[in-house]
Amino acid sequence: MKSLDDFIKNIVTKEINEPQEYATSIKNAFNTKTYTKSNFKKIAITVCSFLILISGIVYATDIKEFVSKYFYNFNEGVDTAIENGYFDEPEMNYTNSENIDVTINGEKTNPSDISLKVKDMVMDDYNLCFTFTLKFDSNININNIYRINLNKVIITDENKSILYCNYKEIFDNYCNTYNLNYNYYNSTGGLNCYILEKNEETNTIDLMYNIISDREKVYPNSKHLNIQIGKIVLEEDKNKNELIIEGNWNISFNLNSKFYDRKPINYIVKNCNYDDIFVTEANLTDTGFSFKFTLPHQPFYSETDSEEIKNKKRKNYYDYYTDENGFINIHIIKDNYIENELGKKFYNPLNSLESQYNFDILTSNYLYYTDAFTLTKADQTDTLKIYFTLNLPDDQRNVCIELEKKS
Amino acid sequence: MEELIKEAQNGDKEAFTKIILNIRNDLYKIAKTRISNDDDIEDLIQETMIETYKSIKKLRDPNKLKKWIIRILINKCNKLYKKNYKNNALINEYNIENYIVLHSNQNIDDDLNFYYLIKDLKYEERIVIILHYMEDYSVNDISKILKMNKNTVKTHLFRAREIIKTNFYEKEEVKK
Repeated sequence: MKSLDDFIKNIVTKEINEPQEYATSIKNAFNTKTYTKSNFKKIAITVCSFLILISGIVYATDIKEFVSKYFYNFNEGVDTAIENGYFDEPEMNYTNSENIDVTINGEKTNPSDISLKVKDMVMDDYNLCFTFTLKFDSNININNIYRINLNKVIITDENKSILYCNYKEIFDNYCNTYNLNYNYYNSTGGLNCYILEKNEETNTIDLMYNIISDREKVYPNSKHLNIQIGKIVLEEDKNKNELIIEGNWNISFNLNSKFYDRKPINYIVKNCNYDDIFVTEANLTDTGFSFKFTLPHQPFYSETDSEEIKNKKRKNYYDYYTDENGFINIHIIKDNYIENELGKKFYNPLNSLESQYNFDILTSNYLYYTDAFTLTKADQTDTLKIYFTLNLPDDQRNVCIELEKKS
Repeated sequence: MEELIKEAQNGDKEAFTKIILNIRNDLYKIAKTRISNDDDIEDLIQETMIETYKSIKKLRDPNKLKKWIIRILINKCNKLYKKNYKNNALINEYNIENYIVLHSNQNIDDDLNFYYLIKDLKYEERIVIILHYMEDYSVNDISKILKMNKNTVKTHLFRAREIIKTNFYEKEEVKK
């Protein structure tokens, strides 16, 4: 017996009859249509005008190019920020590895074979996005490179704060050196990393490196950043043939004042259709909206319940959150979005750290919920409305919270 | 395909045309979930081609080309649909539901066909089913393409599967 999935797949993947002229119209597409002005150009022109108007400065780099490459970012809030000029291109030269030998798959090579720099960046409370340009010697064929991973990375600032680290040993060394007592897992965050562009003439690759805070942590208002990279892994094709390059690249640069002078716009509750929901944070930044609330909650079972009753209640709980495929999908908040006064709606960014909750539904007395939306300062209005459906097994309701700017 | 994409990125229009010809049936099905008129679909595909080709140099990951084309095509179909709907232009004649019923009945004695399968589904359910089963896109991917909340995608997928299960799948299984 065919499964329902196979049944559907079998039908929708079958070819269907096409109109007679369909293939011909595709072949003639470039002969019959004229190019129209793309949205990309419109946005770029808006950005250029905006920058010139507010600052009187025309940036040397092609802003159009900069804007376009962010089009398919995982976080639309970051895209919006960039479209509105919230980015920087720190001036710097390429950095070679220093102090230790550079090796490729264990074999020593010339330090100048691989150098890198930060081409541009965005930083705010919850996002730290870099475009790294990696320059390779001609003996490395960049055409074959499918993916790049940067390992042994630590990003620190002038106050010895660790903004990001993906290698515990390096983290521990740094903490020991400066006698710091930080928690490694608070420094990991989420990461979207992918190749933006390859340039065969210069044998360079632009690598997008987006780090996302876990929303429990806010990036500091740093004035200076140090980025240390110890390992660059080049995946040569989809079969994961790897070139492992080890060295010690240190990039150090001052940040633009727009990043360290940043201030979120705080909102407070004007109205809420339920009294038991306490908003503890509603902050609007250049790249997104951060929202936290707490809710008193009756524990699903009591510690004094017998094991049998506890197990029964646990089963009911998991049954409630099991989807049609048998997967447990716990969405304690559903259909959540924020709306500005103009009726524009903004949803969660498509990154992995959206909508977190921090409580044990079975035993906690309070629910602590953290959410993020793609609304940015560019679409701010004096009041905002947040909508969501609370989806607890014993508590389902539609919530509307009206917020107003804190004066 | 990657070779063709590379050639297209170097300005080879013929290579790009070949890419579109290779995936034309899938694009046609996607457009057909929203738009009934074939002339309109041909225009929309041409516009999608030109818009995609213009920006293909900026494509970072060649594996995402098809997804990108689909996203642009869906947006174009939605725009045209809304425009026609607002203008009330030939809405009955062009109504996709009527078209689907007509086509689905043509081959009713044959194996179940595409039109017959989607005839009882709403647009959102149709497009979600196509993207999920024809393109193997995840809920995340679909949410991004349709700019739809992930939970909403899941709901449409669930409803569509339920309808297909009740109206076709179970009946087919009984026949056997």
